[in-house]
Amino acid sequence: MGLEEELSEWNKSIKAKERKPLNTSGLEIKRLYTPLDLKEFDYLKSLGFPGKHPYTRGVYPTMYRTRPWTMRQYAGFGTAKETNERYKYLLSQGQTGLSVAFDLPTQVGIDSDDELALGEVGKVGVAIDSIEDMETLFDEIDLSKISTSMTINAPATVLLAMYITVGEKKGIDRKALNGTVQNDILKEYIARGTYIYPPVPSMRLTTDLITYCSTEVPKWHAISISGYHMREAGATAAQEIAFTLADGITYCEEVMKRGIGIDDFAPNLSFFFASHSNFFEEVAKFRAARRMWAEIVKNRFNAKEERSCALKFHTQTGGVTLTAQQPENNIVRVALQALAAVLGGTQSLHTNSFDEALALPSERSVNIALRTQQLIAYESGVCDTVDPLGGSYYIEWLTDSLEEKAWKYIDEIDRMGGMMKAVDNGYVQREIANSAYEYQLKVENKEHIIVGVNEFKNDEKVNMELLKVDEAVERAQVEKLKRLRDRRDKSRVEESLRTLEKKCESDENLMPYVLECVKSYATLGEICGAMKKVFGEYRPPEVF
Amino acid sequence: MSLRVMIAKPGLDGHDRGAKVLARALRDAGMEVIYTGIRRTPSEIAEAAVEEDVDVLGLNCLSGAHMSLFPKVIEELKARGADDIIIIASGIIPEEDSEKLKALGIREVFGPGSSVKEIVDFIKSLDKSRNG
Amino acid sequence: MDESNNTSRSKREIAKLITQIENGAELTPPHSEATVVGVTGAPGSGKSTLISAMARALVDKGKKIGVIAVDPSSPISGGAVLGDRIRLNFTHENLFFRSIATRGMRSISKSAYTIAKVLGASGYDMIIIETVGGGQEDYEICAISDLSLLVLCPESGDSIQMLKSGIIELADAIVLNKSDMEGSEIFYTMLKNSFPEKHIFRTVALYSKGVDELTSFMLSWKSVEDHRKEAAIRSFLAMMLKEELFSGFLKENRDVFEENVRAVAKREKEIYEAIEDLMRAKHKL
Repeated sequence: MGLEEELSEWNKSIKAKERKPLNTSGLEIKRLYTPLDLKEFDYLKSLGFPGKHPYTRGVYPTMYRTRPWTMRQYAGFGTAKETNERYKYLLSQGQTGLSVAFDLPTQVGIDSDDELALGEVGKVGVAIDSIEDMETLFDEIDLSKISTSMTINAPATVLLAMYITVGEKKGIDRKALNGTVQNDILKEYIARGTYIYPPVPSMRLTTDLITYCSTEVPKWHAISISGYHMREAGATAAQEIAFTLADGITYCEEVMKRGIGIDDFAPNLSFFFASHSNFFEEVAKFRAARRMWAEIVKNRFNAKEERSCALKFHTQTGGVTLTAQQPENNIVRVALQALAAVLGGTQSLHTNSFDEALALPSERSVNIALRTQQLIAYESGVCDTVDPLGGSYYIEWLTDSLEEKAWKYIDEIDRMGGMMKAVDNGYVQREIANSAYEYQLKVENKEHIIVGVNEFKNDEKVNMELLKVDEAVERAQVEKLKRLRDRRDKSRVEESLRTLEKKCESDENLMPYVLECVKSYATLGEICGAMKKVFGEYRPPEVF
Repeated sequence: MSLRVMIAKPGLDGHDRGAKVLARALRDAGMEVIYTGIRRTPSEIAEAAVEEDVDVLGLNCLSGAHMSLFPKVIEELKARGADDIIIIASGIIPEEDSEKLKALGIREVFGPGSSVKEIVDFIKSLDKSRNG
Repeated sequence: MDESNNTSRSKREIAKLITQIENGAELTPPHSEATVVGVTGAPGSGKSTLISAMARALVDKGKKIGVIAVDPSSPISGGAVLGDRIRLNFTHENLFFRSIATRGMRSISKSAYTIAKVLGASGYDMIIIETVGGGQEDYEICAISDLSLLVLCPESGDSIQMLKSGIIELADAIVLNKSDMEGSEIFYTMLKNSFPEKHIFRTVALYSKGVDELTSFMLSWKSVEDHRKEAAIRSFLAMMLKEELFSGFLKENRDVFEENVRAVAKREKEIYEAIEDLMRAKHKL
């Protein structure tokens, strides 16, 4: 009897009742996987070797055997001065990279004294209004020795210009600066919501920044193409890969339209994914994403260099999976999600703190989150070999199946004429909103169990020390801004803003003009305001 | 007579997964739901609530700016003679803030971990007391 | 109910009055000279964005503007998500924006008409009604408005469908929105050639391009009575009459009607049999 018959006999013999699988991407999960599920499987084609096309098993030959992933925790709150102190502390503890969280007014390009900034200054990150704040933020920090990741999108050109200028003032050549700006505007329209201008001018700013960096700031990662926020907004794992890679395709096309070859910028592209709770699905997701991107860069864009095809990514554990009920349970959730990211081959990782469903993380909870990563890296043994789950019948089947699902979405988006159109007509937003609603229904009717929320509940009152940002921060920041406006050379500010506004109407790269505005002590709100006059402001389509 | 509910997002946070899921759930419960979209000022929200003549105004904020923004919405509604609109609130709102907001006139606060069903049921109960 | 002209009504009072109209209060539409502009067009043509841009431009020209935005009610729950405000960029003392649901298409045209008249009598100079778009109700909007605009966008299959429907004949003017898109020139030329008598405007609502010209046209518009208007009014009256007759029928035969709905749903009856039975009930056979 062959395997096929044996398996069929075995399946028939089973009488036990089984529970419904949890897979979020709508895949039918079988009770057992065997070589029969990998009929198309060809080791060299499907997996190959780590550090080699199609990179399924990892982007580096030795992966964590040489060194574990970068443990990079996102931080920032209150004023630049407070955050600067936190950074110096972190660096004194041996951290080599910073990850800057900006407050929402900064992320949407308005000043701290804007009507819309009320109550938001310094809340979810640090408040930056001008080069003055940026200087304070990096005071006594050697920008030639660290890498700085900045979660900034719509106003990325302005914040990068500020960073470059701070470097200059410290006597550091921009060619020596190392770091990342998120600069991924498409996902802002799809999921994150901190857009400013409509898509066409925004895309121009994104590509202005990427092309400027390719010659002027060559060590800088000019974009981090992010699926994280789409996942947080409700996308399934398959949608997360598909929409992120579709965004990636669009950015490549836009940069290539400027006459830059794929191999000149693709190695500097980086990605950012979420890691959620369905363990194997997440591991497979990362593997599928790598294989798909390698295929896209090689065959769609005809890259000649191997390293252009390697998808390098940062991971953050899933913010929406954290529960306000029994918050300590989140420590375990985060650990499992972090482990999935590591088994999926992440290059860097942020682990969420267990109190984040309730408030900004406290110092103690951030510490536990970091220790979770160290525990995985140094105690669990997962770093001992590369891609330890590779070759599992289930994992390989799941990787193939997620890939197949994701290609279907990409094909659909191609049919619509690309991601810009699919965002404009609300397709992507609608797909995500539908997934979010379906998931919510499953939670409400307990088809999907969340421990401590819809099952295994207790009435314990949560009693924890929560971090609160002092309301005085906003007043102080507004005062500081007022003093700056009184002090600076007004005619130089106006001149630089006028020039920028004029250049917005041309096709020139705007980076040099943004730099001049920054140097004249124009504020973030004024610089973005000048661009708004030409570019207009975006309002989203209705999608529910 | 359909209950009219407005879901509003004051402040700058762009995460409206919860607001949209809630809007759909309220529609499925037979209500007419007006969604303002993200990034609205308190005065814009109050103006919209008046024009739309809503029975219930739901405020959602995840960035921690609720203590500055929600009282301002209440003020703006009062200035327009519309303080009879029932306000409920949701978001990452700690217990102590929730007490303060209720003292200011917000009918109910749904903190982190509240389910959509809870909120829908609460609004339905408002409708019953209105009609009863 | 007070139905006289009253330009000193507060927004709050107007809003309450609209609610009463929506909930079926008997109100004779007051007299008003305000221009009623109906805006229709395929989903995705950018109607809401265009209306936001038009409202901004008109308010900036010193006008008081009312907007009535219509979204569909769910046939299952009766509820609705009214999302047209998402696209609205601003609030202003001279702008009154109201979202309404179709409420089963029973009386939308009627209440929208009355609401428009109430806004006009309350001192608003121009009332813009945005339809759901792409359906029967588009004919009716042409009947109850002084000026009807059909919004199209290049490359859109839905827009092409619109060209085949009767609405393009009835509309007073065509707005080709998103006119910065590829293929826009060809589409524009095609429209020009096919409808040489029509006013055709090109806009990019997202960037307020072409909106100034369009709003100037709207302000100078004088409604004309012609065969197109007659056709729209015929369609509108027919619909209203159907509705009146149907509600009269329902008043006496609700149980029979619901029984037949259930029977067809359970496949106990064919739909045409149900119609025959209902006709029999009507004639008390």
